[in-house]
Amino acid sequence: MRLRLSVFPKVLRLAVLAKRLTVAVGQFIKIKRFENSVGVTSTPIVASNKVFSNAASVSEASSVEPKKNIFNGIGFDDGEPYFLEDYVIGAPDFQDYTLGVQVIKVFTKAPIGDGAVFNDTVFSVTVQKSFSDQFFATDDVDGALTDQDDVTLEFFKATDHTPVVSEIRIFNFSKEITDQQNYFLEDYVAEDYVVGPRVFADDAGTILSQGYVLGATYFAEDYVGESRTFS
Amino acid sequence: MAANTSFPLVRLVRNDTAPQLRLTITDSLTGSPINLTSATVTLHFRAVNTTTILFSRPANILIPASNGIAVVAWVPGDLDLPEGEYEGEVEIVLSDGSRETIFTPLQFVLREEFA
Repeated sequence: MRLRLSVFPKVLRLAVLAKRLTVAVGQFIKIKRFENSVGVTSTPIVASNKVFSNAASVSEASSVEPKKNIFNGIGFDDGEPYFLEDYVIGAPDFQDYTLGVQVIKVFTKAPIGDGAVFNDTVFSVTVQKSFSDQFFATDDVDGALTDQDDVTLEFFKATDHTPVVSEIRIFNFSKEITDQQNYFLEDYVAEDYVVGPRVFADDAGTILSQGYVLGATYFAEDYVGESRTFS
Repeated sequence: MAANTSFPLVRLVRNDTAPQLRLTITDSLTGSPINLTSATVTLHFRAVNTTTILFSRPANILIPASNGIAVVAWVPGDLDLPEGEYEGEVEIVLSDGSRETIFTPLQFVLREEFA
């Protein structure tokens, strides 16, 4: 007898489910590293459309012009026009004493040299006004964690008004009036008497109005007429 | 154990931070990539014929993590080592906590820098 033995063993196949690693060499990623010390800063940014600087200047110049019109009208009043009255006795010294119509004197007066000077300095008013703005703002970034995180907006506006007023008014007014008075005896009526030449105000002398006389001293005695002395 | 030379020999210069290493982890049977979601991949670095770990550098897992790709980027100072031969071990810890280390270590050679 023969015995055949067959062995039918199981085959064990071992498969190792290992990871396969494929290595490649090169530059693949960019590494961003952080430091160990971490700090957080908060810088609040407040955008504002407000113009902080507001330099405003106001100037006001006012001028004052005097509206005074220089009037140089000189009036001269001699009082009562007694020359218009007819009189013989009692007339002024320069009056030609004659019988008849009183001599009417024409009196003119010409002012000369009216040097009137008027000066007026314009006073100006200058007003300067400057504005200064102060704007302070804080922004709460992460909520009301602390008292210092409150959102606060403060606006300060200071107005400096420093007006400067200067006023200088100077009036210089001087007026010179020089008069020269010239008056003339323009008419004399008497025909019987020779009055003689024209009498001027700066003349001094004696006029003797005599009819027929034997001498200049005829009237020295008061029995025909009368003599007057004028100067 | 003699070093497995299946992996390419990585040549490095002292104090360099490049080149980087891209690690692709797949299934040995199917060749499909291993999902590295919530996983960690770490390179343990030491000199050849020593037991002292010089440094352990975590690899950066690229997105999507299902591609199974991780990149080792050198940190300044990692390669500040004497000239010589070094080796690295790749350790994978998956999301379920399982840990698997690639048996074959990586081979490095480091030379001194000129400047």
